[in-house]
Amino acid sequence: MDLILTAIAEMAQPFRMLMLVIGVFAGLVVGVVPGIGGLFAMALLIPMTYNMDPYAAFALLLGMGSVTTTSDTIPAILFGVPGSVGAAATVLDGHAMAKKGEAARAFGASYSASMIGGVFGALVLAAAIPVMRPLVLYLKTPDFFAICAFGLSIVAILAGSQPLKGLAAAMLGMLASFIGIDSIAGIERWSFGQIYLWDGLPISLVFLGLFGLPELASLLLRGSIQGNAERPTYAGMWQGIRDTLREWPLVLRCSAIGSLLGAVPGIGIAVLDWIAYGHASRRPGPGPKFGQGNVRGVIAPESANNAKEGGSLIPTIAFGVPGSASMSILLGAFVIHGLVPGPDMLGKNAALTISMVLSIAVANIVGAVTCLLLTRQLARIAQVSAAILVPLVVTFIVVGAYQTNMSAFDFLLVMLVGAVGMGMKELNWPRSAFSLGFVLGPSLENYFFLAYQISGWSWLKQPLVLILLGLAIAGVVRQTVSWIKARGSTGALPPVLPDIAASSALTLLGLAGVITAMLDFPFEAAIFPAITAGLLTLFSLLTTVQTVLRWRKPVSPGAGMTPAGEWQPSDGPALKGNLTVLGLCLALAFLVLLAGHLAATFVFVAGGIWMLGSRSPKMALAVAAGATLCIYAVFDLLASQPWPAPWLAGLFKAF
Amino acid sequence: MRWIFGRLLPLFAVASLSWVACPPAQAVEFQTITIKVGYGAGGGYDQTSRLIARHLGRFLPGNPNIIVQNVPGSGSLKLTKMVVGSEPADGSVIASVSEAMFYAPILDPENANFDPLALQWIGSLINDPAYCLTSKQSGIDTMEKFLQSDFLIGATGKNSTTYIFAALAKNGMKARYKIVTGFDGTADIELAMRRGEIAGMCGVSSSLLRSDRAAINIIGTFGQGGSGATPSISATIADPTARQAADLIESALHIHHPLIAPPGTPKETVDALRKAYSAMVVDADFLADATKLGDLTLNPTSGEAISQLVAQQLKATPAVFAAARELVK
Repeated sequence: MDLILTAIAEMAQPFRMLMLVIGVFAGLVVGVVPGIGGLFAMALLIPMTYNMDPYAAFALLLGMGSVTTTSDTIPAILFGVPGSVGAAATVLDGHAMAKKGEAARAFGASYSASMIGGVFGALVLAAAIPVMRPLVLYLKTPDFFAICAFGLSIVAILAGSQPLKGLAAAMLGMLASFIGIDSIAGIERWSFGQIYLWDGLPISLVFLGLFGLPELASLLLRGSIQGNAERPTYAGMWQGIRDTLREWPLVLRCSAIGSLLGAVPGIGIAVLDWIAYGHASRRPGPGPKFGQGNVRGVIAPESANNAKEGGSLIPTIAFGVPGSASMSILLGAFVIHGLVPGPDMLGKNAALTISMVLSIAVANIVGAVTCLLLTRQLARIAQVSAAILVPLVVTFIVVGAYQTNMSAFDFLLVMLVGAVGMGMKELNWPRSAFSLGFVLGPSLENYFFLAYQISGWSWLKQPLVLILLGLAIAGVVRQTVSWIKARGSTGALPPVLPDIAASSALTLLGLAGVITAMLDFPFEAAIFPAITAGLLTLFSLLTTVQTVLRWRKPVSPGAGMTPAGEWQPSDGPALKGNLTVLGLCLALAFLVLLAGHLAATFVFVAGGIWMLGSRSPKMALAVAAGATLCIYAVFDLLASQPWPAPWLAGLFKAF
Repeated sequence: MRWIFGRLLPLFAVASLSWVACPPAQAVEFQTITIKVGYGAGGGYDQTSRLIARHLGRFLPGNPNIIVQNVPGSGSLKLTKMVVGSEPADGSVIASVSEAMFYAPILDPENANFDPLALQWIGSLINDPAYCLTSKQSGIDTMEKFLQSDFLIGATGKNSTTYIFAALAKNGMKARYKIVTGFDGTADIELAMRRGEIAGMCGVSSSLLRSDRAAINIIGTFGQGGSGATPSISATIADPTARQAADLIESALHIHHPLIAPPGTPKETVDALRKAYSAMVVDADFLADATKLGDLTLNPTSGEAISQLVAQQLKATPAVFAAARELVK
């Protein structure tokens, strides 16, 4: 008790509170802007803490780290663009709600869930302090593998109305995650000699393309985010908060998922997000189906991803093993302030540890309240014309993607993944399953080989491993049974011919994967990719057969059929919208390379707004100027970094 | 139209003439320098680079602003290849890469296909021996048990120092232990040691260790300068060629955390960078700032000395290189 009072007294000092609040605001900005994650921002903030005392330093750093997952839902709900990788699961139902005019309700639900989750995570951390070290030592490497395998079994739940497609999508995601230099044999897998691909596909870029770009096409077709003209009010927001409170058992369960899995190294925020989402979708409750604007689909991932921060501090504090990527940066701050992770943090420096708990809790509350206050303004964006929004969002996606590696490949990749995402969206290949496969693939492979090298196959007999693998198998079996029962009663389905083309292409891709893996890679580097590619071949081949059969005996598209899951029949000439979005990306990418990111932003936003049919040139210029300033403030001032010289500058230099 | 060309042509002629004719300015002047770091944000290389970025500018003509950019990938091999291939060689970009990069083309010619002698060394911060350690609970507490027993040694990737030194000790001394790869970092390996899943690790410097000393045994050292009590591992290698190969690999320990400039950077520019680096590492403000990075013992090496060391080591015969590849297999 004394310790808690000491910690409160230490934190109550004005300078430390100020640092906490500054950290929160920095974190909110970082979360909103796609492309820069909390990871990068934390690395930037660390040098600023050199001359602070440890309380102030950790208040600043944790304040920032705790709330990026609160504000990253703003672009996710409004535009379907995840502000950071932790918001991808929120896109599905959050953005669907915004389309129906429920943006304010989605915001209210997500912020309040974030707040409760964050405070819950802090409490878990506090409760873990006395038992932290034995707890972390209890989990062995095979347990980590079993946790990942259990996570992957959630794919079965995410697979949607056409389960074969869901399974194939998950395998495709996993296959994509194996690109790059593998960690077991140290050889290149499918990187085609490109240094860019050595470290694999950057996850933030993949999520931006997969979720962000496809939604823009339908936004363009609809004309504004929200279909109807209902004005957003605070009433919607309060309804969202009531939703969260009514669903309190779900909030607590997902917070527990977030904080416990957050403590497992290798299970990042992108994984636990989907696990929470999958968990919630088992019992959809009243209201629309999952993927079509069910508020539980917003509450679940949001409470989980904010609870993670507290959980991932557990192994960091106890052993100096980072529970997440941003925690490894936080460890740098430990060293700078002369702190040694381990028993000291629970004894001599226990007051500081408790102050971290307080920082996380307070930051989550301040962050959520700030966002709630902004809700009405933000929700109004849902009625702004798409002609203005689309160029703006494209700019943030493309420039955000570019700053990942500052390479032209960044553009190429985000557009390529965007095109894949568009195809998946139109043809009902669930992107959620792809994501889960993509984020779990590397951990699954790595933990498997670690466990195998350490104890052969005997680890399969460990009790926790048995329980987790048993649960995973039971989940898959239960889901399969329900698919078999539901056979034949599928709702509306996407057009047949493009679907056959897509599944045949995937079959060939899988086959090529199997062959190249077997021929080119040494055994230990080949086994996971080969099995994954083999399953991809199988599932997509079965899909092809199924679709062909459907084609042979056509069912008249009855009026009563409702779409299920993430997929909805597109509401217009989807191909044209998608091509327009890709064309816009291409134009902006070219402009950035030619004239640099600031000039390009201005020209592109002004030109884009004008081209998409805005009447007032003055407004186009004003919006463009504002966007340019915004990009400058975020990518040059806040995250100061060297941008490659544009071609034009090189041309001028030559003379 | 023609008159435009008529006017522009002489202008172009003069401009291009002046561009060709003017030799680069005699005194080297730096504008903005980017230090690219071959590892992710927050790690040891990142921290020392950000430390250098705060101070190096003061010692360079033109007092340039220095910024840090992370280019992580394959234990800095990615950045090294970029430095050799595509970074501007005008002093505007320098890089912080692994010291092991100078023999990467020898150990892994397929991936590291560049000329190691082309790298221009600016200086390095640390000169520290590395160790093989085991946990107390493993019961492996003497060199003899280390050589004779069956147990597991943890390592990160195949190209990491944790693997290279574990393999060097195993192959050089014909030890029987197995090397487990795939851990996330040294802290991860330490935790597995505590859980009792593996017995120890190799190639770590003493300052990296987070666990308390009472829980570990120091089995042997690599490189000179270790405390006299612990046996040198490469000294026990009998075959002279293998011994020389081990020496080549160990020599990198003297030039830990180096900075390099791209090949083709003008000599004046490299000299100015080296001079500034040497002045910086003895500067009181720099040293005071460095103490904030924890118990990091700085013992810098100048760029000239690194170049000599690298050139010397790379003069070895192909047989030594082949032996080196065998040692780290």
